[in-house]
Amino acid sequence: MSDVEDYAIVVEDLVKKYGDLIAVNNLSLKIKRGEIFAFLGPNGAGKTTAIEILEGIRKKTSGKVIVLGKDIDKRKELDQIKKIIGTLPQEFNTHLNLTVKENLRFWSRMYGKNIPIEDLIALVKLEDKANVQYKNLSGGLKRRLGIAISLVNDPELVFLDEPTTGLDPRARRETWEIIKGLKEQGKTIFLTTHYMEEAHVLADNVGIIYKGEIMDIGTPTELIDKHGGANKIIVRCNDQETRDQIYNILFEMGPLENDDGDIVISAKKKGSISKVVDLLEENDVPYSDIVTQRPTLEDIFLTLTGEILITSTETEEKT
Amino acid sequence: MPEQETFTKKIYLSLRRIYGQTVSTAIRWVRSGPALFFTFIYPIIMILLFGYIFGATDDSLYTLNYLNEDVYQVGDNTYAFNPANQILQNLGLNNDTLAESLNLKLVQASIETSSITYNDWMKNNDIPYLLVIPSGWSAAVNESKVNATAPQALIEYYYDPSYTSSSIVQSIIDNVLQEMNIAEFSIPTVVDVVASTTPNREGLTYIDFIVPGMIMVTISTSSMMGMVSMVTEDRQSGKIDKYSASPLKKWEWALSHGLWHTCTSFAISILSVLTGWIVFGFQLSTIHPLMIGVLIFGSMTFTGLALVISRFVKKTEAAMAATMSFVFPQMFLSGAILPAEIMPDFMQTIAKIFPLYYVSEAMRNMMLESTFHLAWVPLGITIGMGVVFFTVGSIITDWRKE
Repeated sequence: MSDVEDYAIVVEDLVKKYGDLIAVNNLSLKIKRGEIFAFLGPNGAGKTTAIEILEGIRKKTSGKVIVLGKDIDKRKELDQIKKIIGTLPQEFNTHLNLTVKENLRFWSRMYGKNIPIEDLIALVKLEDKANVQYKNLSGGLKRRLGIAISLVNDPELVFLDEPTTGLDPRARRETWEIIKGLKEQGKTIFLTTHYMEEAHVLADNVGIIYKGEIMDIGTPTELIDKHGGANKIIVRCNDQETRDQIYNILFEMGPLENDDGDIVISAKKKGSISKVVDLLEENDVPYSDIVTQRPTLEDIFLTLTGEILITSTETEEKT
Repeated sequence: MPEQETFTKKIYLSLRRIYGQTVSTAIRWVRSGPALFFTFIYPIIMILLFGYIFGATDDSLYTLNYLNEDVYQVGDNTYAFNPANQILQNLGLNNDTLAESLNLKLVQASIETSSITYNDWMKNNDIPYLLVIPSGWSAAVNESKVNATAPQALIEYYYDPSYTSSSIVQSIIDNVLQEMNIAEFSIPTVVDVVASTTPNREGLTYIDFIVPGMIMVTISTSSMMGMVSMVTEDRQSGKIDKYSASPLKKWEWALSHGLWHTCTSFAISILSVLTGWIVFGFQLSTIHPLMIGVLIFGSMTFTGLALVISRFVKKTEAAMAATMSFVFPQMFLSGAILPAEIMPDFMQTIAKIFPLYYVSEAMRNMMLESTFHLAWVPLGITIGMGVVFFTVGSIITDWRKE
C-alpha cells in the first residue's frame, strides 16, 4: 500500500524559521489514517506552528507536507484539502452572540458537504443548549461546540489544537470521550497537547516535540519501553525517623526520595521487589505501603528533554 | 476524495458562503448594542446637534443691561435733541417690535456706582454685557453737530469675553450707532452691500447641507469602525484561522461585508432624511437611482479602507485607534458637516484628500435638484474610489500567516 493510501499526513524535513529563530526544525512524521496522533510538548515547543502549517494556514520555510494525499504547496490541492479537513484553532471562539445552532449553521454554510446540525449537537451533547448564545456557554461547552464546528463538513482528518487547555477535569474528560467517538467513526485526529495524561489516554501515537524538534515518536507503550527505564518501587512511610531507617537499610540499592517523601528505588534487576520486602521485614521497619509503578510519559519527557512537563490539568491547577 | 465540482456548483457554493456570512453578520449586528447605536442613534444625535447649533433660527433675545448717567434734560434751550434717549429707543426701548427684530431686550440696570464698579457688579450679578451712557454724552453729541472740532462722543460697552454673544450684542450696538451717525450727521451712503444667494445654492439652508453630509459621515464611521473591529476581533478569536482553513475565499468574505454595509447605509439614509424632515423640515427634492450608486460605492470605499487598515494593524485596540485617527479628522476636515468653502485655502486642499469629501458632495448635489448637475464629477470619483479601495483591501488582506 502506498503512503498516499495508508497515511493521512506525511511530513518530510519541515522547517519553519522566523529570522534566526527556528520554530520547527527538520520535522518528519507519518500519521496513519484512522489514528489519533498527539503532538506533546510544552508551550513554545512549536506544536501550533507545525499544526498550522499542516492545516495550510501558515507558510513554511522548507520541507514537504502531504495531507490526505495532496500537496499543500499546490494551490488547487490545498483548496481540496480545505474541504475535507476540520480544524479547531487554539483558543478558538466563534460568534459570541449567535446561538449554538446558528453558529453551526453559519460554519456549515462555509462548506459544500454538511452533516445535519442536530446530529452534531447530539454528538457533543449540547441538545439543551442549542438555542443558547455562545457567550453564555461555559468554557467546557464552548470547547465542545468548537469540536462540533470542526466537524460540520464531515472531515476525514480533524486538527485539534490544545482542545482541553483551560478546562476543568470533568470537562476535559467529557471532551476526551467525544474525541474517542470521532476515532470510532474512522476519522484521523491530529491533536496538540501539553498534558501527558491526555496524550496517554487518547493517542495511538505520540510525538514528543521540544524546541521545534521531534524527540521521538511512538505509541505510549513503545516510548515508555524505550526511554522509561525500569519500574519503580515506592516505599511509603509516615515519619522522618522511619524514612531515614529505610534509606539506610536500602542504601545499596540507590534509594531516592520523591516530592511526597516516599523512598523510590529503581527495579533494574529481577527480584528487586522481593529483596526490598525481605530487607524491610527482617529489620522490622514500620513502613505503611510498598507499590510498584511503571514509568509514565512524564518520565519519558524528562529523560528526553531534561525538563518536567505538566501531567494533567489537576497538576496545572495546583502549580 | 472530493467530487469534481462543476462551474454551476462552484457558483452555488460561493453564493451560499456569501449569503451565510451576510446573514450571520446581520444577526450579530441586530444583537449588538454598539452596532445599533452607531447605525440608528448616532446619525439622529448628530443631525439634531449640528442642525440646532448651526441651522436652527434663534428666537431668544439678548438681555442688554443699560445705565443712563446722562443728565441731559428734555427742553434744554440749547439742544432740542436728546441723543441718549434716541439711542435707547433705537435699541428697542419701549418698542417690542424693534427689540425683537434686533434680538435685544433692554433692562435698566440699578448700580450704586459709589460703592461698586461696573465690572464687579456684572461679576456679582452674572451679567454678560452692560451699556453705559456716560454723563454729558448727549451734550457731546449735540456739540459735535455744531462744532466740527468737538471731541468724539463715546458710550461705554462692558462685556464678559467668555460669552460668545458679547460680540454679537456689540455689533448690534455698533450698527445702531452707525445708523444714528448717518441720520444725524447726514453722511451719505457711498458703498453698501446687496446680499443674494448664488444660483447653485439658491434657497438652501444649513439643514439641506448637513443631512446628506451626515448620512455619508455615519456610513463612513460605521463601515470603517465596524469592519476594523470585526476583522481584528475575528483574528484574535481564531475565526480568521478557521476561515483560512475552510473553502471560504477572501473575496467572498469581503464582498459579504461590503453587501452588509451597503444594506446598513440604506437604513442610515432613510433614518437621517426622516429626522431632518421631521425636526427641521428638510426637503428631499429628488430621489435619483444614482443615489443607490453613491451608497454602494461609498460603502465599498470605506469597507476597503477598513480592510487596508486592519491588514497592517493587527490588535483590536491599535486598529480602532488608527481608524479613529482617520475618521474624526475626515469628519470635520472633509466639508461633510461644515462647508469646505469657509475653511482657509490650504484646508480646502486637505478636504479634497479625504474620500468623504467626494462621497458627501455626490450625495448632497444629488439630493437637491438645483445642484444635481454638480454631482457627476464627485460621483465618478466615488465609483472609482469604491472599486479601487475595495479591490486593494480584498487583495492585500492576508489570512495565511507568515
